[in-house]
Amino acid sequence: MKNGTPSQTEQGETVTTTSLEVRDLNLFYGSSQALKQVSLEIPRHEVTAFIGPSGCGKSTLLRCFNRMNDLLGYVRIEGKILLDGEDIYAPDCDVIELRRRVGMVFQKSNPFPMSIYENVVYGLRIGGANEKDVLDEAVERSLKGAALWEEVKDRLKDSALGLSGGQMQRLCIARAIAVNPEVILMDEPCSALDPIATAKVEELILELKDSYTVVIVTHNMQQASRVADRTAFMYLGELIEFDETEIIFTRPANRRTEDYVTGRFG
Amino acid sequence: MVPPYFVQESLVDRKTRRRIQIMDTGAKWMITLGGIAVIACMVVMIILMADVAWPLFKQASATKEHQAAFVAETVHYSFDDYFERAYFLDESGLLTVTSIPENEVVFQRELRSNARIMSAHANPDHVITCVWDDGTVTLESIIFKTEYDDQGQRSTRSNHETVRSFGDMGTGEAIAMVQDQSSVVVQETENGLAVHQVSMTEDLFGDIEETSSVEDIGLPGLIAFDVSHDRSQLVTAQTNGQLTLWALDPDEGVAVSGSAQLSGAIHDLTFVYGDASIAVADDHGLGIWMPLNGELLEIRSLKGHTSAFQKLIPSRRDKSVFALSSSGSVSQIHATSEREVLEIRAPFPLSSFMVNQQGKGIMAVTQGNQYWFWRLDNPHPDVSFKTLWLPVWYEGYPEPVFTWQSSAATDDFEPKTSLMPLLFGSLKGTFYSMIFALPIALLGAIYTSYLMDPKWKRWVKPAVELMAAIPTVVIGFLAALWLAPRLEDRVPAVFMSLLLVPIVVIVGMTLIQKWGKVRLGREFYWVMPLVALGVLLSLGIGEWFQQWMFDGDFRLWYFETFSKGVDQRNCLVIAFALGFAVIPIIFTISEDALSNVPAHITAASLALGATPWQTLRRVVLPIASPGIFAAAMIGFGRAVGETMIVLMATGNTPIMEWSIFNGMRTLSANIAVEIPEAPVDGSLYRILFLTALLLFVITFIVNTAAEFVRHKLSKKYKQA
Repeated sequence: MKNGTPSQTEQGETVTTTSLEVRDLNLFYGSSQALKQVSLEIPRHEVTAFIGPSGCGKSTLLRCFNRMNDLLGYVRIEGKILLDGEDIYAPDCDVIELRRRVGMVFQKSNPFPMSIYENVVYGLRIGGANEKDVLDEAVERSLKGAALWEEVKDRLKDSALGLSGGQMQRLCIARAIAVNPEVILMDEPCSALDPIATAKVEELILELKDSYTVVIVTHNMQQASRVADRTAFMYLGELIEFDETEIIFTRPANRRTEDYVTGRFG
Repeated sequence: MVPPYFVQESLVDRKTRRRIQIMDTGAKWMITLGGIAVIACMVVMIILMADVAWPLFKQASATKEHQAAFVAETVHYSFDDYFERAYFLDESGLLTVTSIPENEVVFQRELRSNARIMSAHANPDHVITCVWDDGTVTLESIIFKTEYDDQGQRSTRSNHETVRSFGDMGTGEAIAMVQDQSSVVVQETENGLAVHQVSMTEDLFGDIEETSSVEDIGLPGLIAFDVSHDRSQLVTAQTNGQLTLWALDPDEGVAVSGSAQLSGAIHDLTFVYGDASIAVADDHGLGIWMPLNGELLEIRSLKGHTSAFQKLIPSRRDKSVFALSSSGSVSQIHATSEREVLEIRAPFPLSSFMVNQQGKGIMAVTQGNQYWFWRLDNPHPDVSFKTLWLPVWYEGYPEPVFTWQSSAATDDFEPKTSLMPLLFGSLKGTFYSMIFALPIALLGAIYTSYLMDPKWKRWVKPAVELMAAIPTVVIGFLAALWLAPRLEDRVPAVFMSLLLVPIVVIVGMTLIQKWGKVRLGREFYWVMPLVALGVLLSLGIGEWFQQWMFDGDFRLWYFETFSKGVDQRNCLVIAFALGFAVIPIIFTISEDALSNVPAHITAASLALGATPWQTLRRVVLPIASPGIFAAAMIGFGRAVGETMIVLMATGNTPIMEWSIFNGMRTLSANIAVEIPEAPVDGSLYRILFLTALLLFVITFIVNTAAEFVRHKLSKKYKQA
């Protein structure tokens, strides 16, 4: 795939180029509709947060970006999602290639039962890279990128399962960035972490946006306000409001957004 | 106001709390008790089996029963099986029977008047060959009749009968054997032996034709000779160490049928029970010799006894030989097991001894005409570590072999109880069935757990598990009577299918996927007809191949090429049938292991751009490996212990050959086959219990090892 076309510039309104664009997305789990006519544009090298009450479809939308929903088997999708201008649901789209470009960090940290080193290079190995210096370089770069290098550099051969919860989640981030993705999807990455670990991950997210487009789903509105440049509020499968974070939290256009961010429901 | 915790307290009152406590404690104890009961059952089972098996290795013992002074000078003496009567024959031909503990004469008879006995040769059957000084040879039989009265009191009556009398003989030591009218008398002469043979044959019209011959054989320095019980063989030993076996035939006369030159001096020899081998005592010990292709071969030997054996008496019950050593002790040596089962010593050297008919008692003479009686406890002289586990050179075999043949038509048969062919059979059957079952069960489990549509998985898994519920006797029955005859004619097709079915499936699926879209998780819609097509194709091509390569009959071709037959009940059948029986257990356990790999781990791999195959290979299989390993091991244990299928479909031939076209006999099937024929507490009975113990130990070790490795692996791949 070629680099994305900055669709926004044609309209001449904004300078940020778009990384992901969702157009009229409808998603059905069997007969029930989980996403209704969602359209939004996620800018490159920014952190975009999806917030909303449980079951609003924010995680579902996130998983559409790397087609993880496909694995469920009973999901039907209408509409388009463009990554750099190319439809990722087109029949000729290579899902494997897509997932290399769109990395993901899950709610529950899920390192493989291997060494720290092998966890980080997993994506490279399955891609066919086996040269030791390439892998070594990637491990150092990724672990540094995930702010984990200092903590684990002396025990790279130890099992990843011996790390603390926060370290494991950062390892998962390192694993995701090792393959140099364009986008990193984060599905409530801090929900299982204590406040100190959460702070570290949030700090990391802010660093990551220099190199990657980050999309994060969170339940924690403070977190969204802390890390996100833009925030989307979703409710019952609909995208209610999508704007700069500051606007969403201070003067939302929609009444429901205001009710949610001020804690009146949710 | 009532503080909240107080309210909580009152919600569960004392009674309820007490009840919960009792229930908890009770459940804890019940579960502990259950666990202990299981372990206890195992231990009890092991103890029960070991208890039956261990007398096999128990040292035989001799208990001194009695000691008394009896008749002074005798030419022969012996006693009955109940230690009640002893008899003595003296030079004048006076037969005296006495009661053993009381030492009273109960019967006395003069066999002949005016003649003296020159020599007497006896065997444990109480038939004595007497040579008289007037050139007569008689066969005297001492008969003990045991009766029980109404109170169950035992009484023994003794009698005597002159079986046969031969006139005009010499006065040398003689051995006579008679049956009906036929007889053989071999008598020592001045320069060798004289062989008198008489045979009576009845022709078609009822006329009796008598053939008789006398032949002298020159044997300088004759030391010892013995005639076989069937009157067809004579064995001689000379001072120069020459051991010769002669064939006796009333028509053909006497002919050498084998000979050997021994280095040391020969002291005595005797035919071992069954007449197939000869025990020879020489300076080095005791050797068991057997004729093979015109030669006499020493097939076993018992060396290194402290002193040389002087006199041998064969048992008439088994392959034991009793031997008197020069130091005056009596030993029982079993010819097959090469065990010196026991050695009896008295305070004074024994000068001669006799064995009673059952081989359970020894009567020996020591200083001052003191007769000693020993009761022998030697239930299993025929079993040793060597007969069970090492190659043994059996009578009639050209070389030492591992063989299982526990019984035959005659009592004098040499039982062959090597456990190696059975262990081999068990492992062979297991090996081939695992080759068949393991890939199918594992690949099936991988597909079902990882790739199959969950809607179908809900049906497939219980269906495969239901396979385990099929009684193995049904599988065995089908395998033996339906599958075996069909496989027999289609051997090339079977091997063809191993190649063709995967090829057809792979090529077919590739083509189908190229032309149309196969729904994920439903590939088996297409694979099943492709497998069927592959099988049909193999049958067709196999038949054609058989016509083209093997002239239409693979079995004949195989026999002609390798001069080995293709059995109908062969390992191919077992591989399928036993494999069919173990597939469900391997499938279920490994499917569980694979399904238990957390979804978030596979998701992590897929999200990194791994293909399902890479995810399977790099993440799912390693994590599931402990369970898969355990599944394979438990399947192995199940196959080793499986009985009904192998009993029905292997042919139960205890041979040791890896060929897939042979049958085998497994440890488990052997127990089922032989236990009805094994007399309780006999050697075979105990050996069967030993094999049961062995089977138990094997499965126990395999399962324990499986659990151990599983534990190790799951520690390595344990989930955070």
